[in-house]
Amino acid sequence: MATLAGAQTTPYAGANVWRTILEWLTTVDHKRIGIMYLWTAGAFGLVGMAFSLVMRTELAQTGTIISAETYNSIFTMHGSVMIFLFLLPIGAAFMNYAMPLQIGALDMAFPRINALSFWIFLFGGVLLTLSFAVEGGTAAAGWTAYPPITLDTGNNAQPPGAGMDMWLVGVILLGQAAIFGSVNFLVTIFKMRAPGMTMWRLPLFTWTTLVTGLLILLSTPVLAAALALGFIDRNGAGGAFFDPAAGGQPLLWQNLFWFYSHPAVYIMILPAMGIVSDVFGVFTRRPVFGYRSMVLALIAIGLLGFIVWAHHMFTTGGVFLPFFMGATFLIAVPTGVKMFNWIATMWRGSNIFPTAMLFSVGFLMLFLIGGITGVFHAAVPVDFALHDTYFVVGHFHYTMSIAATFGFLAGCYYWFPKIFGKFMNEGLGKLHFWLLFIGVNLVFFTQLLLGLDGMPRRINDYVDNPGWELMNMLITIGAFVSAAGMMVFIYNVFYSVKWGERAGSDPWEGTTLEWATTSPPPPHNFDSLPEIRSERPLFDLRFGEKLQDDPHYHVNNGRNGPNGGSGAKTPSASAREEG
Amino acid sequence: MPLTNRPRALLAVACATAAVLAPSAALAHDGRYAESGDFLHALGAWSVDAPGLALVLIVGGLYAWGYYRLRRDSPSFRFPQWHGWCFFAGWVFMLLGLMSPIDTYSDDLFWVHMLQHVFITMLVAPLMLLGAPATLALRAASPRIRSTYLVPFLNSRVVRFLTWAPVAIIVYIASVWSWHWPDAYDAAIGSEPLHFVEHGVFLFGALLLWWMVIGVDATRLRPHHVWRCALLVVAILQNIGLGVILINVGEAIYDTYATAASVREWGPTALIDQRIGAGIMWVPGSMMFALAVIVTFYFWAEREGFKDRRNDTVRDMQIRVHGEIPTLGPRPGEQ
Amino acid sequence: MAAGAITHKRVHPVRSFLVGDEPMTTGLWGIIFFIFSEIMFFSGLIAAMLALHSDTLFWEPTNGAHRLEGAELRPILFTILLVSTSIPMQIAAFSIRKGNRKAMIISMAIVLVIGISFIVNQYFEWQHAGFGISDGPYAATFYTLTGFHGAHVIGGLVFIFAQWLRGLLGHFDAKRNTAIEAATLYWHFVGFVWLLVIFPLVFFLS
Repeated sequence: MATLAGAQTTPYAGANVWRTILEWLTTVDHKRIGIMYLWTAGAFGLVGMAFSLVMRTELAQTGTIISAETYNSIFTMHGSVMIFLFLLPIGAAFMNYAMPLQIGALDMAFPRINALSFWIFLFGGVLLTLSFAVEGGTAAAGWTAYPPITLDTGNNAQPPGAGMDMWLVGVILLGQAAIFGSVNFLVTIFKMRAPGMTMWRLPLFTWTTLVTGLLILLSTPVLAAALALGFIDRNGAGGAFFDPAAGGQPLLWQNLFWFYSHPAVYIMILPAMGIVSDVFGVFTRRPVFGYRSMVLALIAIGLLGFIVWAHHMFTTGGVFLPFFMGATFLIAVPTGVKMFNWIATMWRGSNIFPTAMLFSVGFLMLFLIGGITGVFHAAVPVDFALHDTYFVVGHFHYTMSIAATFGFLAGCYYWFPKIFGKFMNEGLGKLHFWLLFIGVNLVFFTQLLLGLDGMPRRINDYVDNPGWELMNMLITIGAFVSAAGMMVFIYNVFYSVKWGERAGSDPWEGTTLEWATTSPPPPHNFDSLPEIRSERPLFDLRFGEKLQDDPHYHVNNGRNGPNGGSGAKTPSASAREEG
Repeated sequence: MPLTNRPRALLAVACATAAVLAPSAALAHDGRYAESGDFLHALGAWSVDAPGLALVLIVGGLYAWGYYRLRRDSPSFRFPQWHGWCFFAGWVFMLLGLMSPIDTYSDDLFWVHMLQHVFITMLVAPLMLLGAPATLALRAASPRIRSTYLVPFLNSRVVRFLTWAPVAIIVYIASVWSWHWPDAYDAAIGSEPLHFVEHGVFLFGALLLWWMVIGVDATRLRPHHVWRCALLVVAILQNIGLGVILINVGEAIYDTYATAASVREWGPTALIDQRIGAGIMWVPGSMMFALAVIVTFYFWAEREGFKDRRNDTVRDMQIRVHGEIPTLGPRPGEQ
Repeated sequence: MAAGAITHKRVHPVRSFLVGDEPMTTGLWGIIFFIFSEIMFFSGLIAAMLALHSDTLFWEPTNGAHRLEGAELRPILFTILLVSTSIPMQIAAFSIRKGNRKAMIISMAIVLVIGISFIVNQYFEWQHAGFGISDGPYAATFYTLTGFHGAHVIGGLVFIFAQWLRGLLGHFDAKRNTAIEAATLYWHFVGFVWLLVIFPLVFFLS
């Protein structure tokens, strides 16, 4: 067991600060790139949260603190930063860090392209946020950037300036980074797996990486095309693409945009689902229920995601409604399969509830509410009634924003010992969880109610409807409670990096390969690998000997399927157990 | 391929093409407008015609005859019953496409015509291929027929070229897109032989694509399951593309249906009609492919599981012989 | 080859692409996925063009100039030239698979010359178009599609030029030639996207 216990030295102990900085800036190591993604995306996430607090302060009571123009900029940048600079890259961060470890690879397939992808992402993100500094301010057309609001037409009340162009170019760059990243993930999964790690033994997080990669690969270029057309439209073509006055079609933008942005919802939520699946597989002390049905459901979600984007455009009149209604309802089926699988995994499991598990259970609850409100929206009449109200805001925050964030926070708590070699503080973690859970439910459930009451989104004042004040005040309180929770988290991160309890190589008794190496892993990831005979190689390594005589364990062994695992028969596994 | 077999193979290709095209002959319409949009009335509006009936009977009869011969001559040959049921289901859908109200109303309503095409490409083609017609034909044919026509045909360069995945998908996409060009579509509805060719081309393209995907009959160059899924995804994307274009076109682009809509006193306007049709192409059409992706993926799982168990056994034996072998080392496929 | 010698069985990449069971290098996988994404990018642009075309009353340029018609000799000539460079590029890949680096360098030089002439012709095409990018949907889509395609041609040429230089430095052999295979696949993509989609749409859409 010498390799598993491992020397606990930090492999990256640089000689001096400048050398360390230079090493980080020029690194092609997937773990370091993943950590850089993590810090960068986390920082952008805090920026986005600050924007949301500004908005909530403005909306707490009637009357205006900031002008409508500023408010437009703020909600645009809140959406853009949160989606393009937090939720999408934080998924990439975990994929970068954990996926090669989970499949037993030494690095990504194209390490230098991996680094390129990170730096493009950083440059695009900086370009996007720097637009505050230019004349005319940032983009203010919402994160959906519907033309003709984005164009300099005569009847545009707030004609966008250079900030809009920076937004368009920035998002193109971010998309390019995502495409490079996804090519890298896909090739890594297809080509770099350790011997014995066949496709049907991949951990579920790696499966979600694969499906997410495919979604990015097929949808992001279409967004790039749309953004390029938008850029040309603003700078030269004079609205020939999207401005009805010049012969263009606004609906064309919406089709191209939602062709990307509906799959993008799954690009954001699927990695979180993968993390949650892995966490359940560890902390229930059971194999995840229905491994194959999980994978098939993933693929079904991915495919359906490409068919149904027009449900974002129900009220435009350019969509034939019944089919998209039906297809959208269908998405509830694979999602439900996953939901029941998670619940069945917990059922009669030996559940323990460290913070990572708490966040995963929180993910289930939030995603359930989000999913069910999504089914409401799929019904066309309901959608017509609720279109552009706070109900929509509540719905999509529940699903893709806060549920995904809970998944990623679960990932933070779960992989923190692997990344830094130290535990996060459990007490602070539980405080963080409860503050955040109460806060976000206060915010978003009240937003659902407010939407049913008819409050439209994207307004900075509701002076004609003072009856909305109470609920708005509740939402603002909830927002600040959540922010307090996130402050606890930030403190916890820095506290734990510095003073956290030391974690061994496998603190959670994990099942997947990333726990088979030291914490943090050496630059080459693995000194040796265990035999891989199921999707839970470390479980086989740990219990193979013991389970050999267990009659119940052999029930499934004929198939050696994901729930069986014939690791018990592996001589080398038992040899390791003895040594 | 020996030179002497080439004319025979070409003849066989011609016969097969004719056989593929023949069933679609009766799918073409008879040029009258339906009188009423009433649903019950429409249910009764069957268009049973002699050539159509004859074709359906011939196709079904040939399969039944082959099935009978197979059971009689080689009872030990493993040919599961579900092949027969699948072919029967495909046959029923063919019957519906040929003679049901779907055919009657396809001259009046674009979306019904689209439904007919969806029947051809998404139901008839895959279900009939699931019936393993090639296996059945090879098994049931007399030795002379088999060695003179069937085997040279199946091994001919034309068939090998057409059943090459990129060619198959390109032929399929070309068949769908070319016939939806307004001029071509109107011409096809206006002329009986052209309509015949149109449906034949649809069926032909769909058979090629599904031949790649459905691994029931043995062929050369069967793509890997992952590539089958990739083919299907490409098919979904092109389906979506065409559907989006047809939905977003602001006018009725098919003159025939515009005229039909202006003549009749019932039913949707030509534009709505076109949008329903495009929606059918977009969503139910893509849904069949999506289902096929998931099924293909499942069978990939099965096959990979089999390979996993085999490789594990091999490695266990190696470990037993040579002692422990380190797992880190050259990756499979790398030198 | 002598019996007993260890033969390295080089798998035909197209075959391994199709059948999938044989090993394919990471580079080839990467370029294939990247080409998938490029196809989606052009699909987006082309869908935009078709949507605009089907819903626009004035497809002609708004400044009164005439659209470019494909029946003229020059566009057809250069289309044939661009697409035909797929052949020397494939020959380059075939020759390096047999270890013939000299033939590879020569055929890649042909590709480079013809590719650059295509770009130069594109420049003159733009010069003589008679309409600007702001002259209506047709003009905008014309410049966008040909421009993005030209950018991809230039990208492909840079790619090929870099590999050509590497070839001059003596880099590739029968075993290690993934970059050449990748450049070949990318060049086929660039040629076919022009032949099958952009050329017919830009020059023949009425």
